[in-house]
Parts: sequence; C-alpha cells; structure tokens
Amino acid sequence: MNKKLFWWVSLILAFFLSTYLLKYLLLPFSFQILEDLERSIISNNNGLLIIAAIKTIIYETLYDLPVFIFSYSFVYFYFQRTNLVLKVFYLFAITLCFYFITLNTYDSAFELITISSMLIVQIILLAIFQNNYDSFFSSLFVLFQLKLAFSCLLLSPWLNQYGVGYSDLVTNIKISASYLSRTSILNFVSFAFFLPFTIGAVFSILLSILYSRRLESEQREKQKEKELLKMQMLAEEAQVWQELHFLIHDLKSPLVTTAGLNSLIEIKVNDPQIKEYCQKIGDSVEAVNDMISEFLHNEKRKVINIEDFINFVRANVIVKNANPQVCFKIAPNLPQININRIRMARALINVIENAIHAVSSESNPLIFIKINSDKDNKVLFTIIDNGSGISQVNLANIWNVGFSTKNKSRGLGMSFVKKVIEDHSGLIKASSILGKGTVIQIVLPGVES
Amino acid sequence: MARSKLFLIVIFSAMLIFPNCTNKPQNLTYTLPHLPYPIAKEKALITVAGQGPEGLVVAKICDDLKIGNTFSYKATIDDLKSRNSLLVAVGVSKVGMESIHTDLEQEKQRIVRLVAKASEQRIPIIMVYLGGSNRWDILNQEMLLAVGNYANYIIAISSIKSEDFFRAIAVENSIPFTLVKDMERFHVPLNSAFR
Repeated sequence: MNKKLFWWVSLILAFFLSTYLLKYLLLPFSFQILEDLERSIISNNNGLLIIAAIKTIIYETLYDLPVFIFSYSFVYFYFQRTNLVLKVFYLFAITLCFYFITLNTYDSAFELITISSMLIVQIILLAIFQNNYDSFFSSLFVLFQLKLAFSCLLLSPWLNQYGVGYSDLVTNIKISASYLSRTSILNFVSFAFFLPFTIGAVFSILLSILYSRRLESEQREKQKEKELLKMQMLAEEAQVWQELHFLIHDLKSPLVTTAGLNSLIEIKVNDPQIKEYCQKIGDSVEAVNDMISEFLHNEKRKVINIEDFINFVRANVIVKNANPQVCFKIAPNLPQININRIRMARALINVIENAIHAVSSESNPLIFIKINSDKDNKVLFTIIDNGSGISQVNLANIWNVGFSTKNKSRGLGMSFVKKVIEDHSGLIKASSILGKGTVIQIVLPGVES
Repeated sequence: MARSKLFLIVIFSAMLIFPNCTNKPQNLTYTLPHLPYPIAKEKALITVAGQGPEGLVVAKICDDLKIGNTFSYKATIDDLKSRNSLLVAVGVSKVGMESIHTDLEQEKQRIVRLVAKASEQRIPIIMVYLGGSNRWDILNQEMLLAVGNYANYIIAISSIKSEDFFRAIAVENSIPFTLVKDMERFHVPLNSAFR
C-alpha cells in the first residue's frame, strides 16, 4: 500500500514540477512570438508571420506535453498487469485531471481537438504496445510527433468553423494574418506541417510493430535452438551410456577367461599358499563381475550398511591438485539402505568431486559430510563445502543436462546424480550462498529392520 | 406516383419557404454599412483594451487610410491631450498582458478611466472589435461592455454568436454600429467615421 501511495504521490509531484518549470521557461518564448508578430504587422512581412506561426506551434506542443507524457507513462507501467479496459479508464481520468490543471496554470482555452485526439492516440498506443516494454520510448516518440501534428492544426483559420484554434497566441497569429491577408498561407503552413508529422508517426508505429515482431520471432528461434541443444545433449548422454554399457559388458569376457584359468590353476597346484592366492583372485574376479552387473543393471539392488558404503566411496574419490580437509560424521544406529552400490557410489562421488573443485581456490578448503537418519527411517546425506558457491540463477539450472560452470565439462554430472537418486525413490536438493559455500542434501529411504 | 411526387414537392417547398417567413430579420435600425456622416476628427488616439495585436492592426489600417493617429499600448488620460478622437480596439490577450506585467483588472481600470475621461471631454469614442469568433469569451465580452457603454460608434467583425450582443449594446446606448464579415470590409466603416 505504501509503495502504491509513493508512486501516485511521485507522479503528481513530478507533473506539477514539470508544468510549473515549463511555464517559467515558455513565458519568454511567448513574448518573443508577440514581438515577431508586432514586427510582421509593422513591416508587412510574411516571413516574420510564418516564423511566429512556427514558434506558436512549438509553444502549443510543449505547454501541455507533460500531461500526455506523464499520464501515458504512468498508466503504461503502473497498470501493466491490468486489462486494457481498466487502463483506458485510468488513462481518461488521469489525462483529463492533468489537462484541466494545466489549463488552469496557463489560463488557456480548452481545445477539444487536442484533448480528444491525444486521448485516442494514447489508447491506440496502449493497445499496440501494452505488452512490449522494449518499445516504450518508440511509443513516447510517436506521442510527441502526433502532439506536434495536432498543434499544427490549431493554426488553420479554415478549421475555426469546427471549433479549432482558440487559444491566445493562436488567435493573435490569426488576427495578424487576417490583417496581412495571409490566411491562405496559415492554412498551407498548418496542413503542410500536419501531414508529414502524422505520416511519420504512422510509419514509426509500423516500424515499431515490425521490429517487435522480429524480436519475438528471434526469441522464439533462440528458444527452439536451446531446446534442440538440450535434446542433442540428451541424445549424446544416452549414446555415451550405451557405449559405456557395451564397453563394460565386453569386460565380462576376459573376466570369465580369468576366472576359468584361475580355477584350473587352483586345481592343478598343490601349494597351499598359491591355492590361497588363487582363492583371493577368484574373489576379486567375482567382485569385479558383481560390480559390472550392478552397473549394467540399474534394478540390481543390495541391502548394505552405511559404513561399508561410505568406505567404498572414500576409496574411490580422486583428489587432484587441492588437498581439502574432508570430514565424515556418521551417526550411530543408522538404518541400512537398499541401493545399486556402484551407481549410488558414483553419484555421491560426483557430488564430492564437485565440492572438491569448488574449494580448490580457497585458502582453507573444507568439506563436511554428515550422515544421519530421521524419525521416518530415512537416511540423510549432507555434503557441505566452503567453496565459491553457486548463484541463485545457476542454482536452478544445475540439474539440467548440458549445464556446467566448469570448463571442459559436458554438464552431465548433476543430472546423472539426480537421476540415480530419483531411481532409488530418494530426494536431492541444493542450496548455496555465493562466495560462502554450497550444501547438497540427499535423502534415501532406509530399510525396515 | 405523380400525386405523391407533387405532394413531396409541396412539402419541400413549404419547408424552404416557411422558415424564411418566420425568421424575418429584425428591424436593423442601428446596423449601418457605414456612417452617413463623420463623427470623429484627426488626430486619433488608438489604444488596445487587453493588449492583443488588434490595436496595432487598427493603427496600421488608419495609416493605410491616411488617418492621422498615435498608437499606444498603455494609453492613459494624459495621452488624450490634443487628441480629437479615441479608438479603442478590444482584444484581451493574457500573454500580451503578461508581457507588460499587467493583469485584466488593471487593464480594465485603465480603459474605463480613459473612456470615461474621453466621454467627459466629449471626445468621440469608436470601439473596434476584430476578434470575430476567436476572441469570443467572457473576458472579451466584459471588456466590450465596459467600453461599449461610453462608445459613440461600434465597428465589429461579427459572427453568429456575437451579433445579438453588439445589437444589445447599441440599442441600450442608442449608438450606431456596423457589423462586418472580415478584415477587408472593415476599412469602409472606419473611414466613414472620419470622412
């Protein structure tokens, strides 16, 4: 409510200030017009009469221009979310109030043609440009052109019969022209200026409409390009995973050979120590086989302890360049989780590696990983870093395929993490303060014991 | 068909004739194309009531008609000395008044004092109005009434709106008045007032 009142008060104050300032500035200009008229009568000079006429057009344009500029601009921006009918109503009310205030300030005559035609122009401009804020200044320029055009009409003695051109200075010009027998010149000057300004204004409107349509079309093209790029990234990601699947699947063949030969060696050899080594080789090959199967088949799940899972993750995190302090805090008596160990580990490693990258330029890099549970038997993984943080604009985009703030990154990491978490009926959310750090929270359902 | 046509012609003719019969022009006892004899003498003092350009225009017309005159925007009682007639052109222009730092009240007082003094000294006063419909507002009408009460002759560029107004002043003060259509027709009645 205070904000609304502020804008209304500002509008009224700005209008009064500009009106009185303009009056103060236009007064000497009006005296100049009278002097030119006097000289034209004394010396019977048409040129001076025309100069006085043109100056009068400028005077008539400027003196009530603030009325239309302020009312139009205010309605344009303040009522931007209102429908057109209501905007027109407010425009009428504000324009008429301001117009009568101006008439009172200047003590001038009511010109019906000026106020009615300017109101119509304002309505048309509002209807055309109401949702196009880039074209506001173009519409303001058109308003000025048309005000100039309608002011030219005031000079025409021929239009007197229709109640046009009864203001003080205009009347002085017409009386002088009548004495000098130059009413035809006034008519000519009036229409000679009116037509080009009006035609110019119409062309300005058309150009603005064309320009805004072109802008809209360009924006639509850009949007389509973005969507196309996103689809391409998704297709690439799918292809990458497919190739990875085939590659990892192909690893099974040498493993089978290794397992088979290992079994033969175990059978043929009598040395108990070698037999033990063979047993260990067999266990490792089986473990690798299991990892490959888990990776290839997302639905393959195992119930494991949090501690075992974290140990597996810690063993696989690669720390390059920086040596951040990574603290783990695991709460006691956590429920077990039913997960695809390889995928979930990959997801968590991805998050930790992002945190390591974020703190790489910090003087005291710190990563804190807390694991606890809640009363609903859910396991919460919270990864906190004191890195550079993520802006709010980028925070909304980190889950999108192809988005990355790192150079040479394909932007597939966090989208993969989100997919894995969601495949496990979990939740992931991120919060960040630019310059302070980031918090990633992962929630997974625990297994009922 | 022929009868209905005849009927329409009759009705149409009646519509044309009847208004002309009922709206006969009033007896224009005081409306003259020009004065039959002069009422003013040279040198004339010309001033403007309201600071419009009308005063200067009248002065220039007098110069064109070779009527000796002195023009002053702010003529006062003192300017009446050795002047044999007074021409007051009524034309209220707010911008004109602001240019000489005066207002309507002061201007009215000046003019009333001037015409009253002229009337007292039996100097013929000719009131001139060149504004037509452009200047037809309350301020100009007040000024016309103020001067008209002392005028000996009125010359006005009239419009439909102002005819009755001037007729009323002329009848009330028993003075002749001439209404003209435009500036070109203004010269003859003005000349007739002096020659």
